[in-house]
Amino acid sequence: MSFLDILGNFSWGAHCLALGLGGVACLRLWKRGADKAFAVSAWLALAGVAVLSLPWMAGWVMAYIQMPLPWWILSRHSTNISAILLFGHFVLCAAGALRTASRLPVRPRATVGAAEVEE
Amino acid sequence: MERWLLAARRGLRQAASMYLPEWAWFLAGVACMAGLVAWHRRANSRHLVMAAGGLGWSSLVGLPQLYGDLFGYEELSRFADKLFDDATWAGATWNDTGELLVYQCSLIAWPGMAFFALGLWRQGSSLVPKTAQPVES
Repeated sequence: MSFLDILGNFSWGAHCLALGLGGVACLRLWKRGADKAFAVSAWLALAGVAVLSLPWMAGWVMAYIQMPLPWWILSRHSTNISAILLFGHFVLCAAGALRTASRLPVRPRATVGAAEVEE
Repeated sequence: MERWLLAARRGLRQAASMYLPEWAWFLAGVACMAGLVAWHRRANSRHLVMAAGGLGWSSLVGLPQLYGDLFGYEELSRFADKLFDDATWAGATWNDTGELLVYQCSLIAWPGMAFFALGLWRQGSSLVPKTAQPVES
């Protein structure tokens, strides 16, 4: 196995792990009082990562069990399904962030000439 | 026909198929980044800046794929050939330099996602949990 192959597997695994952590972080945001869209977003992310990593996990499990795999594990649609789920994750993250921001008061911002006005 | 018109037609055809097109991914990433920046403008949190920056990195690294999807990989390959000399691709199993460029970019996208998750996690730490809020009488 070449270095690029190893890096490819590593980066793919790291990507899945980071997406899962993002889901958990979204769930935590909701539990700590952010918008409810984050909760839906979190479950979409976790489901998406689960579907995305199913074929990989199946390949790992195949070394231990001698059994034909169900068709849905080997299905090429798993990529499409996970893509749609993760797309929903990002869109709902945006919605959650915007809705959380809209509930907060507008922060006073320094403008040009504010120092002169204060004097 | 105009190049942009052809790209738009290709993008619409992709959207009609089962395959989620790259421009939809890109729009979702940019929308999420905009939401995080809007939140940062109200809450003034550096964790949100980190999360938005991570998404920005992932979107930036996906730009070659976006270009290839919309304008065709032949165009992207021509661009990649101009950008790098043959020694860069020595030992590669791909002949199409555009696809190779997309693959190399996909290898470095994961830190963006990691920073996105880390930023959201740390922003959660700075929020007050519901159970800790005082009960109003």
